[in-house]
Amino acid sequence: MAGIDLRSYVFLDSLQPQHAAFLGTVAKGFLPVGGQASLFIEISPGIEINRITDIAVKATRVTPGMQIVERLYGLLELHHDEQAEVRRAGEAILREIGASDTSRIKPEILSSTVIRHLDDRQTQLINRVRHGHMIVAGQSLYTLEVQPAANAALAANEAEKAARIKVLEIVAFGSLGRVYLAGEDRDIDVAWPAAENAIRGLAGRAGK
Amino acid sequence: MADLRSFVFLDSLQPQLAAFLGTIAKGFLPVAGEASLIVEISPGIEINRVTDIAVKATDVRPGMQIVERLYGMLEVHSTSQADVRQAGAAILDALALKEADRIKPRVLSSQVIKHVDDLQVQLINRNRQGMMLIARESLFIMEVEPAGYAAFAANEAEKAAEINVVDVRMTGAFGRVYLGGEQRDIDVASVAATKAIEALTGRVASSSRKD
Repeated sequence: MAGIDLRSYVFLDSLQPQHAAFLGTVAKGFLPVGGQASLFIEISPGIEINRITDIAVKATRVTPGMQIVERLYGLLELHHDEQAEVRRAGEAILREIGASDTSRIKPEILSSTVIRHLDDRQTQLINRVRHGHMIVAGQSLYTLEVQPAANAALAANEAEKAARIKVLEIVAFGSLGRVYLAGEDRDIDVAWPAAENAIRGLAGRAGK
Repeated sequence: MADLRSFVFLDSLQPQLAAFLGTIAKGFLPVAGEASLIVEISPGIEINRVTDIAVKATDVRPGMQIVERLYGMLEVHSTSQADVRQAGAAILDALALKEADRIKPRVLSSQVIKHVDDLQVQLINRNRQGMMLIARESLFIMEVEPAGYAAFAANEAEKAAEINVVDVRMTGAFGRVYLGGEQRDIDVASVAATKAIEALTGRVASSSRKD
């Protein structure tokens, strides 16, 4: 399978409770539960994701949560109770497309911002578009923009491990990934370095 | 003549209920701390006239005006309690009704599910519009008639305990409240919600669904 460009290869060792709940809200496929391992794969051209899913579900017992063909890229999320099963699915996919996990694009953070003590009126705009928890006035808001998009899932999952934040929104497909987290200042201040460090820790090739 | 079903005044929208209304409302969005009035009448289409009265008589803003299968519902709010109370008085006056003509709310179901399973939270999360329910939290659910009182139950529960407002259905045949949180908070919230509903006066109506 030549010509498939691996954009993201993001392995999550253990879906955190809110992240699992969030995926349970937005996923159109099989729903994950907390504690499962999960893999996000993002490729170009987008339509080829159908072939990627075929490999994963025939090679292993993983269950696919999301298969999204968007404007440019294709995203697959799959998960299973067993980390080994998810890792095996990832290996099967990589072998088929002739790539290794470090063939992915090294993620680049485009924006990482904390807005403190959010105003009543701004919370209402955010609440109308999020799929996860609601933000309430007076909480702080952390927003992250990263490319490729699937790395947003890792950032959110690691932030949730580190601090008692509320997951408002995770956009892990498209041209840019986005994470919205809310919470008390003390928690947000722990969460955002955890999110950034997780992304910076990933090796990969330079993006175009 | 219009039949008054719910007539419920919220003295101060709690932060999560305000956020929740901000999510579902198609009209002007409220913010926390504002006073709010929810009026529910039958026949549903008459709610247009109720809104007309409220917005012409006072400075309140309408957040929701919903004509559903059987009933009509209006939510208005303002930073001034006085304006909201005045809007309510003007509505009752125009309809030749008194507050006591509302239906006394009846709780049809009230239960706590402890330590909700991973699998069940995912089903609930797909249908709710507020906070997510997280696995192993406890869930309080209440079904109340008429529907508008669900907002009152949720607001009073949020005042009482650190719960998450998962969903509040305040239109239709029945009102439904879903609250999530630690068991200790759910225990307090469920009592507060139940007491709030039981304390409301009104005429006693047997279930009057016409479908």
